[in-house]
Amino acid sequence: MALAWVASASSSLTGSRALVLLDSLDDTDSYSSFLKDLEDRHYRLSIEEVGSEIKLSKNDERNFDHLLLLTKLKSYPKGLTAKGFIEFVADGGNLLIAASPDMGTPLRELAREFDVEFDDRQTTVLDHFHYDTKLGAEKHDAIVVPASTNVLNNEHIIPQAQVAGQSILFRGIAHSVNPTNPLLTSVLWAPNEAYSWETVNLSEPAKQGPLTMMAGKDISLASVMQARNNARVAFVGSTEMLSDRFFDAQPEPISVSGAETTTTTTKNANRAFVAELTKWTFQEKGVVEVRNVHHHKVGEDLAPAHYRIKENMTYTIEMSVFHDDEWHPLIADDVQLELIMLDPYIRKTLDRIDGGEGSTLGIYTTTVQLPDQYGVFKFTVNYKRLGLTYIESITTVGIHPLRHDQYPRFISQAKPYYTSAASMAVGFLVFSFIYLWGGLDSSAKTTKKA
Amino acid sequence: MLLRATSLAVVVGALASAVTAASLWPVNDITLSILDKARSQTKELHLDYPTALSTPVLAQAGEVVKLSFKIGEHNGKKALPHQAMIRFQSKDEYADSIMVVGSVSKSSGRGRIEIDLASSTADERFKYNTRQYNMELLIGGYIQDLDSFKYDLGTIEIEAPASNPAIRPARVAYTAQPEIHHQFRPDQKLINVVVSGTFTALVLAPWLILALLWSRLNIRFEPLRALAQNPKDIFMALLFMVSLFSIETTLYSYWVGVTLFPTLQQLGVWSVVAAVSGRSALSALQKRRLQRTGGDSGAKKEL
Amino acid sequence: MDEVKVATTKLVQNYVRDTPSSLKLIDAYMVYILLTGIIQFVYVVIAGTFPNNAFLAGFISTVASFILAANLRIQSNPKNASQFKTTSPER
Repeated sequence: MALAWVASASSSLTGSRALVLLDSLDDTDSYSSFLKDLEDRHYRLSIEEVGSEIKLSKNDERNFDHLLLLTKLKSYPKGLTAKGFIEFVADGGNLLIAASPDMGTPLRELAREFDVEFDDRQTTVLDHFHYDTKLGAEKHDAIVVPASTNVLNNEHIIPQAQVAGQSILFRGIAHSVNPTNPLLTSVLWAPNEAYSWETVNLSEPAKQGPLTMMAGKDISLASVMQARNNARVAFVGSTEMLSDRFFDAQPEPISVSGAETTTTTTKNANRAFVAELTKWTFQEKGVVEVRNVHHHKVGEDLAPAHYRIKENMTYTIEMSVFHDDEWHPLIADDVQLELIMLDPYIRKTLDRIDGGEGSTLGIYTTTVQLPDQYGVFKFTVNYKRLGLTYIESITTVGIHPLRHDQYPRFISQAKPYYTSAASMAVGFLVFSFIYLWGGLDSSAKTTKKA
Repeated sequence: MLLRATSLAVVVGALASAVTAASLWPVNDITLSILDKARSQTKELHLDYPTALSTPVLAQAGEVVKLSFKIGEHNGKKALPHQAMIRFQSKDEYADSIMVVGSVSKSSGRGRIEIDLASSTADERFKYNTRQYNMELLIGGYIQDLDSFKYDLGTIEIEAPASNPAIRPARVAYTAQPEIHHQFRPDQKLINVVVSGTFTALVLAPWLILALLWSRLNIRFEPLRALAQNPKDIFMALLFMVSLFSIETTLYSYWVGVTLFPTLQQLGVWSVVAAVSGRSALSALQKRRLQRTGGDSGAKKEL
Repeated sequence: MDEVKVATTKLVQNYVRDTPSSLKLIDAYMVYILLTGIIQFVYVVIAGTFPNNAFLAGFISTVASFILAANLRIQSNPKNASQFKTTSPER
């Protein structure tokens, strides 16, 4: 994240160097609006054909910050394998993968590395109830997806304001995301009546084969993944969704209600959707940074070298989130502090304090009584939420047991013991006084026969 | 005149319908049946589009749910659809959407969609829980002028198997965790103040006994009077007692709060004082005793 | 029963008559210590061992004082003079 302060004119915090891989340079024209939008956001685009030699890194440093695959990837570029792409993401690079029904096996394998499974070769998402009458009349494959109901409602990735009431045109291949993986989320999914099938023999009825069919909202049309190092990867099942043709088209989907089938018109949200998706994927928004962590005893200011059990401590953390080219205070109500020594002993939700006018810091604080277990504790703020970078702030602090003179004195139960010890002491003094100077006779008495 | 008007109306009407084209897909004889394990029919319900079932149908764990229909003709040919499926939408908070594919015979146009709940090919999600689903029949295809057919069939309740139900894979999501409050060890319960007070008094009781026994003895402070003549001796004696007392107070202050090193310093000082003054006091006593008994100094004297 | 009574009375009488008074001083002191210790022990049986350290302090201080007093008695008993040839009576 320190790259933010290194001169990069782009809005992205990762950097501005983007590599676009196409099947052939002639395709550049069909994506001209999309690429222009990226350039307007200050990205330096390098457009290459997939057959040419690509070096993603040099001397352990990335050559590019973002990678866009708008190619079928029938074979890997020279000098690269799936491992090379994975390493690119592991180095913090962001990746956008756009697929199509005739995608190549290498692209499928690459997606599989991220737990994303594209449907079989030459399958397309079909929907007889939501196809576009202009683009999809023949095969019912260009579908119109209503954005209000089929887009993930997360303000950090796709804000509803940008796409509400509009529709997204899609023609491509279905994919599914592993539902048990917390790093993966579907952001656009197919309407309920859609299903994924091969587009050959369309006059014959589809018959269930041995493999299960993807259908309805199980079909993900666009999904995202944020890796544990906070690099982001986006998967889109349709290259055409990014094309000029689909950006400019006026969707006219059929609409089936009862026995009536009509054609409606809706507003096209492709451009806005793709813009928000790329803004999130290329780290222009939803990036969180911890600015400050303070902890101290209640009533003091500086952090002590160590704490004592059952002391009261105040913990403060300040975080900022980046969007719209600026840092803003992070606003949330579920930031939690954990005191962990192998297991969490305390978990408490932090309260937010207003940072004041113009502050870029979201200040979260709380006061906690330390447990009566001593040892080395970690004060952890583990904040992982959908759409935001993963935050894990750990401060290691020791908690000491009571010193011998910090125990309570004069426990009422122990009064007899105190008095006995005292009386022993006094008794000793009195006894010695009398013994020494009491003039008692110590000579043996004469013994009389008993 | 009227004839011409009506025929004109008919012609116009026919033209109009031709322009708006699109008729509904011809699906007839829609029958929902439940078959038991032996594949003998236990229930049969005929459905009329667009009426849905009035009451929910129940399908038990090992049974077979079957929907059969007949595809009619369009323009003289069988209107074979591409999609002939039922979509089940569960009515609980998970809202699972399960699509079941059917098959349509090309020759007869008869279609059939079957779910054998006992077999492993049925969708696993039917086996998560006994719950109600909404059924929708979806027929769609690529024949011009025919609109896709969606028929809301009604509610069905599907029982999950009692043994070996399927378990929904847990979705891990990053959310706030429940708060944990530390249970502090409770303060020791102390004994009743009255009891400890009584015992405190009791502990002091032996003083009475001591005073009693000592009073029986013949304690006269003769040496003190003798010592009074010599101020040095008195001083030493006093100093000794004071030093003993100070050692004890130092120990008390250590207990109450002073740390180790100042305590050790104090103890050191007072020990030396005690030793010196003690020796001096004792030798004074010795002198006096020797005077009294008139014997030689040193050992061997019975005391 | 009678014999025990006669024996104890005789014991007491002999004691009162024969023991030097300085030793009697020590004996009384020791009785006092003993009683204090016993009472504390009874208390700990009733009230439990919290706080451990205080109980140990109280009890052991009685024990220690008792032992020191016993030593002094042994040393100052004229009947034991033979064992203490080298120490002056003032010790």
